[in-house]
Amino acid sequence: MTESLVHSVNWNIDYKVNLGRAWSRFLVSLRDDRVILGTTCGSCDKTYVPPQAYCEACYEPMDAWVEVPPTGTLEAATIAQHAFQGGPPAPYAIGAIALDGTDTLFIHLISGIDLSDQENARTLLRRGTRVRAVWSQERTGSIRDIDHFAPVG
Amino acid sequence: MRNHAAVAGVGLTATTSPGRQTASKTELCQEAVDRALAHSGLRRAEIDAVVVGNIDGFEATSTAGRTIVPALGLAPGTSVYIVNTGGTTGGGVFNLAASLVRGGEAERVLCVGPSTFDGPVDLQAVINTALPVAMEQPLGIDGVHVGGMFAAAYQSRYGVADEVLELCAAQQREHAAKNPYAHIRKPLPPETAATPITTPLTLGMVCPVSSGATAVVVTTETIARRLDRNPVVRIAAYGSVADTHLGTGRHDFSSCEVLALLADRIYKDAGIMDPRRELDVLEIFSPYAPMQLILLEDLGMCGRGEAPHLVRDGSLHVDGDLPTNLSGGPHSTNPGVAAQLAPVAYIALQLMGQAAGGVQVAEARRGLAHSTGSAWWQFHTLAILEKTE
Repeated sequence: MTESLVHSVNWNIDYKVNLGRAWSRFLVSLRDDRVILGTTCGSCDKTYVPPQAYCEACYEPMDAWVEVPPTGTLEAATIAQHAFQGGPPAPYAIGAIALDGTDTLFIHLISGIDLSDQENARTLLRRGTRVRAVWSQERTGSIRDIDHFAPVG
Repeated sequence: MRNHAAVAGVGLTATTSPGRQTASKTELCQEAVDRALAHSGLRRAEIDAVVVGNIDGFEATSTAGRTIVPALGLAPGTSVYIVNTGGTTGGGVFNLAASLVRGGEAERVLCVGPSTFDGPVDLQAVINTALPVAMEQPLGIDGVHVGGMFAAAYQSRYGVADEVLELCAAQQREHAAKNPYAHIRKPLPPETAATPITTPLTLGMVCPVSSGATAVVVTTETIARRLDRNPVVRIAAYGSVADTHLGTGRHDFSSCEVLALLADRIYKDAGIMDPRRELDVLEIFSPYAPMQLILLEDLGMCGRGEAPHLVRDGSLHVDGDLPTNLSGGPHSTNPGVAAQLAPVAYIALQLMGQAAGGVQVAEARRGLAHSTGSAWWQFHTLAILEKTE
């Protein structure tokens, strides 16, 4: 049996992505006003956060912008114990949040509790937990202008 | 009368971890293709189209599929098709082959499911790139977190204990132990299996990174009959579906609504009224073992929240009334596109009466193969195979 060789290959490539009108307005509003904006479909009345230019259910253009409160109810969360290259340091929690007044689940980081005690944290992040957005000090027009959502009350 | 597409032969390689693999991806594909052709009785020169799967980002090249095809010894001028739909690439390869045959574009199509995950040093960092740019990539989400979110949502909605999730893993590993093509064939030591990954998933519930390849030969039912090598397995119905890309577009993580829609459509195509009773064997794509619960419900095998009963009462074993993932599924063997094509291969072997490892379902006449993947399990494919007389 000959020796089995393995070569290391590295790609390091930068990209630029146009976020478009809907997402630009959403992120600028997070950055400048600390306000979460959604779009509402005039046909089916669903409110989307992040906003979308067209309703995914009706394919109607959505130009009705609404301000959404920075509060919601946790539908589900997962507490990650391992970091990966480019991701946040572990442990960290990702949640699916039903923001008040919306029809979508907003995905974001959940923090503000002790995540190192996994079983206790699971209880604190159970379905139905009320959460509120915690804003970043430095805001750059990114989804992380909301640093995380934290359980309230 | 329609000349249906049929499975003429399948080829699976042994699987191992990428670190122990001595063959290149191309060499693995050559081996799988050799086996599939030998199994079918077709010669290389008779192949008139090849469909190969590829998932962007997992290879140290942007043209992986295309680099494999010229090494397969096919006739010059053979049509080449590349499928690239994330976690359903393997299922999509098979569906496209069936479409080419049904539509009369080709008569003998080779499906190639390469080994996808051998390369990346940090696989989860690559999977993160499948998440929506700007909105979800920056949140530290990778494949296993998607699996965790669905499992957590299902668990909290229906009050399912961790023990049920562990049982899902144990049963699939029990099946893998008998499958000569499976990667993880021994249970992990309990303390290793209990290592937290992302709640509620532990190491024992998540798939390994595997290396191996799968190939399948699809032809017309007439040619399959003429070849007379294997019982003829008709591709009775197949299809694919996509959900929204954003996790934030969903309303619920305790089910995959689009899979239920797809299942309704293809059951109708296959003339199936009662899937639980009329399907003899299933291979469903659950790299995170508890996914099985959600998928079984979406596929209409039981009501919402009832799948834990199927796991607890032994229905999913070879002697149960709904044998599921007798191969061990991708939870025990996950070489990427090869694993997504494998459900079709295992179902075809069951219907041919050639299942390896003592897991042959008695009188299996009809089976279902599923694959899913991409961000938040956005895509799904299904195929229903039937043994014809």
